[in-house]
Amino acid sequence: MSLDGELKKWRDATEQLEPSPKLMASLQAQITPPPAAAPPVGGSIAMKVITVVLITVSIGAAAWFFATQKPKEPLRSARDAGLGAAVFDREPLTDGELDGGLAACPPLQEPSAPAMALMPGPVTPRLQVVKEARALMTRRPLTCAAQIAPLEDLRAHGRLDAQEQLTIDARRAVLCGLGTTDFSGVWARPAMWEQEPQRPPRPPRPCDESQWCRVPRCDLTQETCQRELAAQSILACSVLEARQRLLDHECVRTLRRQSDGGTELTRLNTALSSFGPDAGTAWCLEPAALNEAKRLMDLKVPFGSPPVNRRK
Amino acid sequence: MTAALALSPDPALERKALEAAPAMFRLAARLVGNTADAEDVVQEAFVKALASLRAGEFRGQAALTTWLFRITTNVAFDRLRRARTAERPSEEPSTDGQADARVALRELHDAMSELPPDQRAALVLKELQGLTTREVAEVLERSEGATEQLLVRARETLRRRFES
Repeated sequence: MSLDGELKKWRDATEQLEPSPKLMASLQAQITPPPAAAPPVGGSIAMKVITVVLITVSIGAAAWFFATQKPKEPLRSARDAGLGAAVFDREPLTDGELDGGLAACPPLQEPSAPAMALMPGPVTPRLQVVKEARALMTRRPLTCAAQIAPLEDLRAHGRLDAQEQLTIDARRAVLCGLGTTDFSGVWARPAMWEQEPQRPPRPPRPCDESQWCRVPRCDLTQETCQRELAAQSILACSVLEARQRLLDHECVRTLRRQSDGGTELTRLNTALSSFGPDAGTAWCLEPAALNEAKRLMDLKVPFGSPPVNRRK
Repeated sequence: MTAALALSPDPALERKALEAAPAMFRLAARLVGNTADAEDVVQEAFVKALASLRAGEFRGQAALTTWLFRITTNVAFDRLRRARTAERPSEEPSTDGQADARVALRELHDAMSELPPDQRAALVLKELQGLTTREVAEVLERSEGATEQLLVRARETLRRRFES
């Protein structure tokens, strides 16, 4: 076939390629929402009356709905927890300002030999970074240093060539440790985890269901959650507990308060967006996130410094 | 923070950038040779583009799409420079009818592996993305004459490869 023929063949074949819905959703989450449309001016009196009645009825229905909802201990969504306006709606800052925020966080401790031994070889550097970052997260899941600087730590251990420029992958991997389910595609590629060492399955422990359905609206998907959780032998209450501890953790708050921009923040925004009102659903439907939470809870890893505003 | 607050995002431009994302993705895939890396490239390019838009760095001298292609191309080549081909993660098995596209990507990547980055970018932009020579020149920030030369050399190299 001629060169032109080959080029045409490649063009036609690759024209079918489309980005994944996950990527598009991630990009969509990063753009500034359009300003709300101005309310219509004028209109008939009848329309205005109908509008007033509809609004009144809606407010009443909403008030009734919320008044009748009595969760034992309602968990707050990310936005309610203060991760909303501060993180989601802020303009970019420089890397320096980001680093300044992180400087307030506790230093990263060295991972133990067992943690470093988790990675069998040979693996690609990319996979290695993800795995090692994950191992670091397992050891110290919620320190700010671990969230942002695992690569340097890996280099210090001679696990990565100093010339490797895989910061993005490492940071993504660590952000995934925060519970991200739809961020970089790292978790979304199960093939990457095929080389994970297999651990013997742990017997499921009893879990008080009354504890785990504390998330508003989680009960809407309880059946789905339970099915997924049963398949993963996950303690749902532990998952939710892990999530709540994450949201309450001082480091996350510090990061949110003091670092509000740049590439990392945009990515962090995307990461944290999974902690919305449907977070229960997101957790339940993401086996990788569940596995991570399960690992954290099973290992009884201390969550860094004591969380603030921790609910009883 | 103050400086950041002074920035004013333009939702309309950002929306247009989002609409261009599929084309950015195809360009990235054609340059890096696999969809997994292409998604990473688009993610990174989009973040950079948004930051630039919000900083007022896009002044409309070029079309938005051309500007986005420029960012995508630069990110893709940064990535290619960093990555070693052998260590590229393998594609997941395709179940969505895009197997032909992935095979074509692999062939394309192999065929173009001998081309210097600028020639590869010129050829992909012109022959696969369907840009005019002038648009390719804008993306690559070259003159039209220089771009023509890149295209001629790229085609010559590929033709020799096929003949051999």
